[in-house]
Amino acid sequence: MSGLPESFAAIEGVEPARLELDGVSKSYGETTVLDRVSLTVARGEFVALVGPSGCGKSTLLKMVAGLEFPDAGHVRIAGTDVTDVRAADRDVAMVLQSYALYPHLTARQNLALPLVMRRLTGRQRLPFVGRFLPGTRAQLAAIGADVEKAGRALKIDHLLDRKPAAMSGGQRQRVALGRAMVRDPRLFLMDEPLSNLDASLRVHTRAEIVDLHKALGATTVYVTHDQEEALGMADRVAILHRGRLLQVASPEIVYRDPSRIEVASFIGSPSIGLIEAVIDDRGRAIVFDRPIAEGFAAQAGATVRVGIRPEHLRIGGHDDAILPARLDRTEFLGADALAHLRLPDGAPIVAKATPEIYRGFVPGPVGLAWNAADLLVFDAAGDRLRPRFDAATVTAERAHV
Amino acid sequence: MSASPHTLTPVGRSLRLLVLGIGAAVMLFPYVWMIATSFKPQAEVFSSGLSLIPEHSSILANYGKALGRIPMGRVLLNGVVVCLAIVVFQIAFALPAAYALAKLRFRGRDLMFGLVILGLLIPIHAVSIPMFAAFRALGLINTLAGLVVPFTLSVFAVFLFRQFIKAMPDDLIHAGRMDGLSEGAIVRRIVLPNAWPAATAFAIFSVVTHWNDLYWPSIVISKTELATPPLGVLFFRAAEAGDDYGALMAATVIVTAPLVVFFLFAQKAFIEGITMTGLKG
Repeated sequence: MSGLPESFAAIEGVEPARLELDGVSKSYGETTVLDRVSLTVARGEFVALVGPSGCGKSTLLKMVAGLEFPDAGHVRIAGTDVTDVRAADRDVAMVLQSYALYPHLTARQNLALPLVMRRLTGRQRLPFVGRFLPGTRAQLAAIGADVEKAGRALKIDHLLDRKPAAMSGGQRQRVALGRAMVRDPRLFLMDEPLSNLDASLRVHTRAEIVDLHKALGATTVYVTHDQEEALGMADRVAILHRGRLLQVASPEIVYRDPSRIEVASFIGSPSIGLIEAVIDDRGRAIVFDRPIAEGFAAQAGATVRVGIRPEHLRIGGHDDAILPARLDRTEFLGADALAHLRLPDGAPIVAKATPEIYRGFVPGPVGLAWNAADLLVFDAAGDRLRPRFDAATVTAERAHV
Repeated sequence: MSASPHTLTPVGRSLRLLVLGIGAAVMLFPYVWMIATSFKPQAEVFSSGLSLIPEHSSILANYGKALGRIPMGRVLLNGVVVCLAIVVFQIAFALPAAYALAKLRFRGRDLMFGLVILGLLIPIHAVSIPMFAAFRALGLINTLAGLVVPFTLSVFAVFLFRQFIKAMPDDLIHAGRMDGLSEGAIVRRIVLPNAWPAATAFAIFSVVTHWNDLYWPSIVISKTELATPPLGVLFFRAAEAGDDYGALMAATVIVTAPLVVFFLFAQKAFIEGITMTGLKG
C-alpha cells in the first residue's frame, strides 16, 4: 500500500472534471428507476452513491458513463452537456462490478486497449499495416511504458502476461482498476468494485482506492450497497432510495443528522431502532403511555417514528428507565457487543456497547434509557421532525455526546 | 443392482461396445466399399463375390483416370476457393447483424429477429428458379461468384451467433464502450475473439455443407473447369459414360478425402464446436 501515491504522482493527471446531474429521470415501461435526480460532484471530489439494491444507483452511474440515456434531465461533465454523447466519446473511466476484463487478452493487452483506442488514429490501428505508419511505433512504445508503470503502481507487473482466467478475483480487480486509471480519466466511476472480494481483501483494497484517489485527484463517483464502504471512503455520501436522491452530505452528517427515515435506517450497522409513538397535546412523543421525547410541533394524535441508534441505547435498572424491555440475549463481536431486546409489544430492538458493559447480563426484564438529544424522530411521511429546542440547546447537548 | 447407474459392469460395457461397433460398421461400410472399389479392375467390380481386398490391383489405372480425364486439381481448388469465400463472407456479414440483434436496442429489433427465424424456414430449392433468372441477368452464371453470392448471407449464422453473443456479459460490451471502442471495433476486437467457438462450429458446418453441395453448383455451372468437387464427379461420370465404377469411385475418394483428412486433424475442434463446449473461459 505504501508507495502507491508516490508512484502515481509521477503520472501527470488530466484536469479532473466537475460532474453535474440535473433532474435526471429514467423509467423502463411503468417502472420509474430514477426520479428527477440532481447531484453535483465537485472537481476532485469522491462521492459515494449508496442505496439498497434496485434503488437505481447503477443506472445513474451508467448514465454518467454514457451507457444509458436519461428520459429527461441533463448530464454535464466539465460544464459540457454530454446527455446524448455516447460512452466512447466521454472520456470517462469505469470499473465494473464484474470487472469485465477482456477474456481473450492478457492483462497487458487489457490495460493497453483504452490507450490504443485513444492515442492511435484509425489507420494506425489497422492490423499489420498500421505498425508501419509513421508514429505508430513511438506511440506503441509509449503505451507499453505507461502500461508497465501502471502495472508497477498496482503491483500487478508480474501478472501482465496472464489472461484473466488465470488470475484470482483480487488480481482481476486490480487489473480492472488499472485499465480504468491507466489513461488518466478526468472522471472515474466505480460500480461496486469490491463486492466480489473476500472481507480482508476488501478492507485493504478500500484503503488503496482512497490512496489512489488522493494521488490521482480524479473526480470519483463510487457506487456501493455497503454503507460502511460509503462512510469510510467518500468525501460525501449520496443516498438513493427508489430512484430518488434523499440526502447528499458528509458521512458524519448522514449518520448523525439524516433528513429522511430511509437514510437513518440504511446508514448504520446494526440499523437504527425505530419505535412508533404518538404525539400528545403537549408535543410529547408517547410510547406505551410513557413520554419518551418532547418538544414537537406536530399535531396531537399524529403518529411519529422515533429512531435510536444501537450505541445510544443504554440498558440499566428500572430506576432511570424510560421504557421497560426484555433482554433476549447478548452477542459478543470482539470490540463490540450487541444486546438483542424486545419492547413491551414484542418488537425487537438492538443495543450496542463494549463487551465489558454487557458482562454478566442475563436474559430477563431490563430498563432502557437514552439521551433525548440522540433521538431521531420522523413524521408519518418519513421526514425528519426536529424538536423545538433552540439551537443553542441542541448544540450543547450534541457536544456532550 | 450394486453398480451405480453411471458405471457399467464388464458385460454391459462389452454390450455397449458391440452395439456401437455394429453401428459404426454399418455407417462406415459404404465408404469402405467405395475405397475398395476404387482399387479394383472393372471385372472384379462386377463379379458376384463380396471381397474387400482386390485380387488384381487397378489402383494406378483408376486413379490415373480420375485425375486425368477431368482437371481434378482445378476442381479441388474451386472447392477450396468457394468454401473459403462463403465462410468468410458469412461470418463477416452475420456477426455484426447478430451483435446488433443480441446487444443493441432499436425499434423493430424483435421483428427483424422474427424475419431471421422465418428465413431459416425457407430452403434454397424454393427460391432457386427466381435466383437463377436474376443471376443470368447479372451475368453470374458460370462464374465462381455465382457459387458464392447466394450463401454469403446466412440466417443460420445470424441465429447461431445471436444466441451465443446474447450469453456474453453486457459488462464486456460496456467496458469496450468505456475504453473508446466504436460498435464496429467492439464486434472486431471483443465479440469476434470471444465468439470464436461459435465461429469455428459454424465454419465447420458451412465448409462441410458447401463442399458437398451439388444442387446449386449443378444449376449455375456447366463448365468442367468451374466445377466444385461433387459436380466434378458428375462431369467425370458423364465423360466416362458411366460404367467405369473403379475410376468413378477413385474420383469420389479424391473428392471426399480433403474433408475426411480435415476432420481427422480438427477432430477435437469439430466435436467441441458441435457440442459448443468451452463457451465460457
